[in-house]
Amino acid sequence: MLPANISIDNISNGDILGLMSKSKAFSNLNVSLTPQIFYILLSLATKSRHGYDIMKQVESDSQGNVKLGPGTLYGAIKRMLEEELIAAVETNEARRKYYKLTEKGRTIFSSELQRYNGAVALAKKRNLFTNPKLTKTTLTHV
Amino acid sequence: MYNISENTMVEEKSDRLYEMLLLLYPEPYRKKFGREMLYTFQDMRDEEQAKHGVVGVVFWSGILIDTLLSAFHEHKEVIRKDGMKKYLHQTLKLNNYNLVSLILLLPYFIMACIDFGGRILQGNLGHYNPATYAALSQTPLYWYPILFTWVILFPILAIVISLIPLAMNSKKISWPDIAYLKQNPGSVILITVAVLLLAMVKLHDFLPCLVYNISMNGFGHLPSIISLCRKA
Repeated sequence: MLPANISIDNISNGDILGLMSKSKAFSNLNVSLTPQIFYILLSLATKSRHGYDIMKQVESDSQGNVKLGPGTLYGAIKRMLEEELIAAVETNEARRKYYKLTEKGRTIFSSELQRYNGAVALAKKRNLFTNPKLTKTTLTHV
Repeated sequence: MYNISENTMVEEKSDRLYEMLLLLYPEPYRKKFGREMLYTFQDMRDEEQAKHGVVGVVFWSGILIDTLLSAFHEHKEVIRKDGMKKYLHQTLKLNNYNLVSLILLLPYFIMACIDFGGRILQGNLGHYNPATYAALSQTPLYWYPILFTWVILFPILAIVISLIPLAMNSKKISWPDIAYLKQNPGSVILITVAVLLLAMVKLHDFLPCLVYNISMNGFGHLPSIISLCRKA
């Protein structure tokens, strides 16, 4: 459904992209995909991990750009558990609790990657990577 | 460089300090994630110690900022979900008497924070900051009858009001019963703060000096610290 202020005569590329970014998967989600949550999903995409392992993996994957303390990490884990993006894994280890991606988490993470992939492809097509300002700052997290 | 027993002592102290910081989180959150957070903290501390030999100010500053920001966020979440009334009564465990006491203590508490801020800025906790004092004394709060009200009368009233919920249930228990006090943490904390604020009227230079020197030098030199701060 198009917003009321957009008619078919004056629709622009920006309007289409804006509507596309509000896909069904994202509109049902109550937690925003911040860089922290994105990198936590990324770290859990290959295997289940405990808190400290997630923290180290996020730091390594983001090349030190995203650093999590215990407070930030478990705040994000709490919200992701509530949204059923991740789930705790039953293990025999008493000291540590492991977390894994759920199906919902995997779907949302995969959609997000596809969105990034599309954006990168578009940027390449428009030759935006040659702009040093964009390469250095705007596209750091992509 | 630490030896093994010193190392264990430092680890125990840092664990205890972090457990105290965890008290800043809402209770349900702490019960669910507190233990895991402590383990994660221990892993971080061990790595820091292995890397640098000591757990320094930079590490603790990072932990403190992380804890304060995330605890604030969690409290905000509870208020958003449950509403302010439920938050005050269930999360902070404050009854209506406690809320009145809290409001009564607030002016003195704010003034004490400003006074402490001034002392910290000048780097001498044992003496008030002349600039801060000059600014505060210009306000009507320092007019003698008003000063008497928020410095003496309000803390005494706060103690009396906080004692009411304790007194109301006191017939049901046999003294001394610590569990009973644990059920009324709001009253216990507010009475302690009020007593401390009243003590500050007389000891407003001695107490900050004592706290500062103990935190810097530990309890080992307590007699000399006390004699130093008496002169403050």
